[in-house]
Amino acid sequence: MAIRRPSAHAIERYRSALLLSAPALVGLAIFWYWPTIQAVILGFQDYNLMSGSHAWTGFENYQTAATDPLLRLTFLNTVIYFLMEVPLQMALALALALLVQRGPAWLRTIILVPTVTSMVVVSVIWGLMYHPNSGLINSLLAGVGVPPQPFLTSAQQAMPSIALLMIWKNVGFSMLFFLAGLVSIPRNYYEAAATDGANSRQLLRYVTLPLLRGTVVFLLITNTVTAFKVFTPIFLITEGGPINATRVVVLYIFENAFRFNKMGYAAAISVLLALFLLIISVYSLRASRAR
Amino acid sequence: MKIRLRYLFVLVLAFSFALAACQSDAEEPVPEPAPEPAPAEEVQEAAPAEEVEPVTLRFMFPEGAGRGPGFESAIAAYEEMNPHITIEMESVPFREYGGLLPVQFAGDSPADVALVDSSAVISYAYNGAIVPLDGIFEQSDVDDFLPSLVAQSTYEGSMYGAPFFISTQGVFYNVDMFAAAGVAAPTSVEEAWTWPEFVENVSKVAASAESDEGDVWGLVFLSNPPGSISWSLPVVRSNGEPGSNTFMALSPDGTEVSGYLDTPEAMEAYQFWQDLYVEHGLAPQGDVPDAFGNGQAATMISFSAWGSVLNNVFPDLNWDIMPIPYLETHVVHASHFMPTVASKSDHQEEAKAFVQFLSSIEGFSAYYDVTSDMPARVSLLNELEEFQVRPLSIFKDELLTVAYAAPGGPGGAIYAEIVGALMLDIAQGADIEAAVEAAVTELDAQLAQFG
Repeated sequence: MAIRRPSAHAIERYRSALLLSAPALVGLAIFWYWPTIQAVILGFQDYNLMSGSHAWTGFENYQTAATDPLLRLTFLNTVIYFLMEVPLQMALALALALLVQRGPAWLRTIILVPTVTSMVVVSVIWGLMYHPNSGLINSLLAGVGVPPQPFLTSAQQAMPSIALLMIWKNVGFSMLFFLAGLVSIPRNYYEAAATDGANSRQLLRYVTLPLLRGTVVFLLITNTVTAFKVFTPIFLITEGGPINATRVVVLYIFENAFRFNKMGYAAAISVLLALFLLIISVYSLRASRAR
Repeated sequence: MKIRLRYLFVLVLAFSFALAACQSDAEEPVPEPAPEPAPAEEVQEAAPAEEVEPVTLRFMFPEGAGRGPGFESAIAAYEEMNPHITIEMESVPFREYGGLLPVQFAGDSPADVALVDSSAVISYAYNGAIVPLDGIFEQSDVDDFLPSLVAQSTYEGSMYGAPFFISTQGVFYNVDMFAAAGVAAPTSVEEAWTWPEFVENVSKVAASAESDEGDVWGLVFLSNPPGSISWSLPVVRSNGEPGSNTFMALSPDGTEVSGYLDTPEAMEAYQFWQDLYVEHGLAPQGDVPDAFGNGQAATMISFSAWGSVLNNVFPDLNWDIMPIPYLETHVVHASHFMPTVASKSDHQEEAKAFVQFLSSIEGFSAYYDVTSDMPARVSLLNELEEFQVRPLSIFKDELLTVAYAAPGGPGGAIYAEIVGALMLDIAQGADIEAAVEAAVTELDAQLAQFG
């Protein structure tokens, strides 16, 4: 069988595309792929950040990771955070998208404001709102007769408090994608279903949700990756406390790299986290396509 | 033209990878060994300007009240004596300094001279980031430096940081509130309250000061509860006899905390620390900005230079200072930044000479003319008039009688991080036994690498 050669026009198109994307590719190579390769290499080394010396240690960092109780704890904390944040955030985002679909534009803007606000600003403000002695939330609770809550100073309440903050921050972003998904569903599907006597709950169950599957999978993957990378609010508000209740994997990576001077071990954990997220993402995509 | 563009693209890609590859080729950039230190006299007597090449030194330090003008003054005096030396100041915002410093040392061109927190000097020395300063000090200098600073800068028999200034702690109190409650504060280190006496008296003051405008806290720190062991650990250490494991809070070789941080006396002190926040409600469990300055707190434990901040920002506040309370043994932490010389500096000898000048009486005097920081030399502490009269004499007396270095060693930064978090957790109501066990287990595992 003869191999079909691409036409001159096709070659020209590929060349143009390559040339036009060259600056971005160079940027990616320098600022994305090379650091990633470096992280993989560092994972096999004992690297001293201060003196710059490094020695090959083979799989020692990965062996340490396999038996490190703190890594297990931080991973478990991250999973707990993911379970608290992602499902609730996505459900809320879908509800808001359905609510504002035909609502006024200013309502969407209000919901989107937290998304475009700096994470640092949000963390500081919510940290003050959660203040156990003089925070806004306890003042509001006192108004309805609820005793003051410790929030971020309690090992039981700290992680839910962080998850709530992040739901508030991220829900607008997910809502935006659900809105785009809703707009793309042809109106005649709803009209046909309504003609067949479907009520609003059935329209949601049998028309809207199945046709939003692509959006749900996309958001599930991006929100999962974001949730497993949570760092800023925890670093700024609780620093992993109280008693390690909010100590998550990325914070542990940061601590090992810049506080415990174990850059190689930090790199090894980063690689493991990246692999875990890659597997989750691939599995989600395949599961979605299989359906 | 198309072919050229394609070559250009390939060239750019190849160049970018070559650049990155160069980085990895720089294997094992072990710092060059420090040259033999010159005798003190040689370092001090710089060669005449016409015979030597001009040298520019970079000097990095964290911003602080009056620090910039103070160093400008000291540098001007040094440059006048050494016309071939130019010193460029690099002032970094205080909050960013701790994060920037290791990155600087990790890079190829750190500042020649950098201020390093005294509690971290041994850690940087252990990691080869800074060089020993042997030979630039006479024995009379070492004897004149405050012992707590010498201890914090000495690693394997060599000093790596030059004692320059010192900071210790005191209890700033609202004179009007104390007078209204009829409570007289101690006026000397000998009269210092124990912590139970402090709680009893300050609770009275706080209760008496409460008004329709709101509650008044008995005690606040710079951050609440304090995350740094500088403020919280003396409470624990003070519940042990001098030289006991509780007092030391870390094994002498700096590799173990089991048996030091979890002694019965330490556990008792943790309970007292938690009671301050939970049972007595004397101190807030979250930050209350400017609480002391705004009259929302009766007392504030802060560092010795805090008085000038209060005078500038809250000129109407009537404040005074009393010594830090204690449980069984009076102990306060004393520390400060110290000038150090980077092992990657190309001008180590010139940098050492500058550091030697800074830590000399002349160097500190030039700095002190425009600041009010406390000197690291006993002779200057006893000589400068400001420290012979109250309120600052309290700090001087503390420094000369009850000031100790915070536990440190090569793993000092890790120790400070984990114990600081432990004290924070306890203040916020954590189960003490569980929190201490978790911290001791983690610290023992981390510190084992320095054995």
